[in-house]
Amino acid sequence: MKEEREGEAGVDCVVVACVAERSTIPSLVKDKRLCHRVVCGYNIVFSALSPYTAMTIADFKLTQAAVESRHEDAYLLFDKTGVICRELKLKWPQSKLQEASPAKTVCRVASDSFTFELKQAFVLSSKPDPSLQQFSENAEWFFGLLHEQLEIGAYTRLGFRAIFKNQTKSHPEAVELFKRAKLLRMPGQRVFGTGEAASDLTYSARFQSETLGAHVRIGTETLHVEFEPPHGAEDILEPVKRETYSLVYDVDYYTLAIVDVAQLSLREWLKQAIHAIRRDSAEFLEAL
Amino acid sequence: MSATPVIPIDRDRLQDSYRVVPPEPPTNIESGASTWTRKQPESVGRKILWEELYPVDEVADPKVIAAQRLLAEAIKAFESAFKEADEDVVAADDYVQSAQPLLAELFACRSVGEGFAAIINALSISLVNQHGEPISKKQIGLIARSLRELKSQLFLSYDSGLRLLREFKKSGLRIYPEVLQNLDLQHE
Repeated sequence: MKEEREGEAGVDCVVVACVAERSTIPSLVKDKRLCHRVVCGYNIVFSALSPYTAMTIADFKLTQAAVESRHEDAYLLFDKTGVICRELKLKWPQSKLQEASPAKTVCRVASDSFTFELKQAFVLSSKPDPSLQQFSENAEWFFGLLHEQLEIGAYTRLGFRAIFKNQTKSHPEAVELFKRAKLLRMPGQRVFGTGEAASDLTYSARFQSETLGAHVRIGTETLHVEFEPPHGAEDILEPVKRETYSLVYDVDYYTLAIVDVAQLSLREWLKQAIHAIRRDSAEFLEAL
Repeated sequence: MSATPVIPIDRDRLQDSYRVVPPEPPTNIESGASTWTRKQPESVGRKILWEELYPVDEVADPKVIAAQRLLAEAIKAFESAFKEADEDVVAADDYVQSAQPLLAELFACRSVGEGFAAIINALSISLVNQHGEPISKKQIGLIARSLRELKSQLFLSYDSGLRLLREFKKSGLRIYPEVLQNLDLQHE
């Protein structure tokens, strides 16, 4: 049994428990799909104590989502920007106009921003809800408004970008997670006289057909956050100096063919896009 | 006794004080928005197909799936009717009759979109208003073409739907319930 498993997955797996009730499996192991299999009516639990549990998209948190559309020059932008801003304000009274120049307008609502330009528009959320339901609703409403006001007939490109992060305690831990995905072959010996350990690892690939495409980036990331209270507010606010480390799974999924507005239900399309991104994540992240 | 002075906090300045320092080499942590402006592959210039835009049926709205399936069947029936219209009027009418229950089912999917609802509604009523009389070959052709258009553009707006309703009306189809035939409607 052990040999079969080794041949299949290429890692050391140990049978740690035999004859377990199916209902007890979730409490025994985190990922039951990879860590148990049913043989002759018994659940054979593999590798529950092994450090090499598989990484899945469930280990990642969606930290940023953006949807973008591109279109032919929408000259009505110069006439209708005020109407669009007013509609945004009516929908979200707390919204703030962050930028309003003739060519580009940005409106912010909490962690979401709505941008429209002559040739493109996008909605960016830096704190999206995990199901993307609210994000989809907001984006659909916003693009509907633009279509109506700017009389956009077709989109030359639709893009959805999702950034997932698996936060770790240290940078080496993020590097170790990256290596476990086996996306790159690392040098087996010291290179450039610097040492064997590699850091700042990034895997990037574009997959594209005539009409659809996706750009995938997986990499380690260190984020430095530094906050100094403004002069005079030192008693009220504390300074912050922190570093966060993570493994990032970043996918840009897009169309290349023309999308007629009558073909598009943005909510439906986003559902399809996020499904494809989550489903195909297994090809990159679960390479154990 | 003087009160402690309240320090006004300039919110914009406060935001500026949050410094997110990109590491070396820089990550794209801040590039969520700016990456969109990077040169991307160009559009191929042809219209995307429905199956390419919505490739995964499992996550699609069941009403959308049902509408697509029923439209395909209805198109097939009207196309068959169109082929038979010259040779055998009765057979052509049989095909049209067979499409009527499909239109009734499509009526149940009208929440898909306003344009969709308007067209399906108009077609259902038109066939009822025939009172058993067969529709002409020209009308059959027009309906088949409209349904094909609707299938590839399911989320048609109401205004775009009105264009098709005008064509129906022009071809002699009576698209309103009989009691409303004489009303002055928007798209007349």
